[in-house]
Amino acid sequence: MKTVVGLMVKDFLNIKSYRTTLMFLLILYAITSFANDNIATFIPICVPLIFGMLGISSFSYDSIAKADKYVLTLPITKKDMVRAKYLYVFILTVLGTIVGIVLSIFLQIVKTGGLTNIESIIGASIGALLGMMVLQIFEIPVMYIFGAEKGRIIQMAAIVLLMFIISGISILVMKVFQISLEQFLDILIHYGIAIITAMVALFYIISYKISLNVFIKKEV
Amino acid sequence: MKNAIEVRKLCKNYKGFQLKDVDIILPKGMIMGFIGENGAGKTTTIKAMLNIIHTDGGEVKIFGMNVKENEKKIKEDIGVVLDDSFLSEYFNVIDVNQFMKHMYNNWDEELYFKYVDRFQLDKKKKVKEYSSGMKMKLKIAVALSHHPKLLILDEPTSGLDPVARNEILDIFQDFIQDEEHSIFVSSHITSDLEHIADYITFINDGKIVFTETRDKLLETYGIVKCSEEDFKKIDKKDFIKYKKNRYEYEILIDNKVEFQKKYHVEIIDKPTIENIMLIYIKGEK
Repeated sequence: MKTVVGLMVKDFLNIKSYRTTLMFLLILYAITSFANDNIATFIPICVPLIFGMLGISSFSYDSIAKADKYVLTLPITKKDMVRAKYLYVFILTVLGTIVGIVLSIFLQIVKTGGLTNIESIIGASIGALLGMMVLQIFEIPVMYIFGAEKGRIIQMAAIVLLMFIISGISILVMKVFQISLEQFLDILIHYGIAIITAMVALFYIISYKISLNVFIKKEV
Repeated sequence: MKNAIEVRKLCKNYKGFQLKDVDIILPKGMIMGFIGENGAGKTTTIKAMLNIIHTDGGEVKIFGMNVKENEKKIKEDIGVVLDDSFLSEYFNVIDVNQFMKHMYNNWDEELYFKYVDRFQLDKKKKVKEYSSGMKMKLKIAVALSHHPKLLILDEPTSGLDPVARNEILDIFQDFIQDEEHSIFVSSHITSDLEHIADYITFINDGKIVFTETRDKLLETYGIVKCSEEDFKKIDKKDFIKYKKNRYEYEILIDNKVEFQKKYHVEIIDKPTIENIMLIYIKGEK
């Protein structure tokens, strides 16, 4: 476990130089949402998105330094490396969600003097977190299969494909159970979070297994 | 455990390149120089030794243990320098320490910063701002700072000026003073190996051409320069390879004394490792 923590430390140290840019973006988002009166939705969605993307950028940092090859000369296994990468990306996205929630609450209090729509903030934040995780389920194996350079382009295609898949499943569910879009969204709001969370967790594990399998066979 | 490294019948197949039946034995307490031209298979051999790539046959033992079965344990005691890869271009020496102390049980922070000071590495600069010589010094500092028993070094002196190279070679000499320590080093700069190596292993086109002691190479091998007429009088069995230059023939022999006795040649040049490598690669039989 010590080495897995070490690998996460490496990835966090890599984005240290990104602190100023990140602060600038957060301030920019804060001003934009403050002015447009959409604090409860804009910040909780955008901040986890940025943090999640930052997590995926660790593949590019590794690619520039050819770090995988070097790291494999250390007392570490490929399994440790994949495990550390998933944990790092997940922790960073959760961290982004927490920052988003805290910032939204702070801005809401500053603007209105009270906290009226905490449910919206939490709902949007959880939605964004799950959304980012769904993207990562595809993005991370793509990075392992194609490498950071090609992977960046292919992940765009993967996102479009993902949107088609989600839309397709939704339409299929509506047709099979003969329900309208309004009814479908209502079911999702009331019962969907638990089901989606369970599904995302399951597919996150499957995604990890695929990445591990790919990386073990890959020649670095 | 007599040998630090034992590589037997190592094979690796790539499209267009094969590492074929590579045998390498590095006795404990010795330095082995690994030479060969670009693309000969030096880095592939090192990667296979470290279990970084999959192999298609053969076995690698380090400290008497199979590298595939005892990878983590073995790597705790190895310091590795790779020419073209490191942790991150955005790290400074302090970041490297932060990472490394999670990696090795024996990581010695004090020793690491001692090397950092000795090599005059700027603590605030990022790796990407370092010259190639500075980068190499940092990699060497890292490789030495967990008290390894074996150093595996891929082109460790490339990019270094003569003063820095000398300094690094001195460090390797200090390291080898301990009888438990060994070094396996690949290098293009064969003159460095003439100073420090006990054994020279030469690889060409994925196959090991020879492993000899440095002393045998430099003392018993020789280069004879002669005319075409004289060359025709020499039995093929008595030389390794020859190279035809514009005005003369250069003949590589592996037993100066015998050759002198048989052909009564007046001058036999003492070869450098580079001479030997060049005639082996460019020469004919």
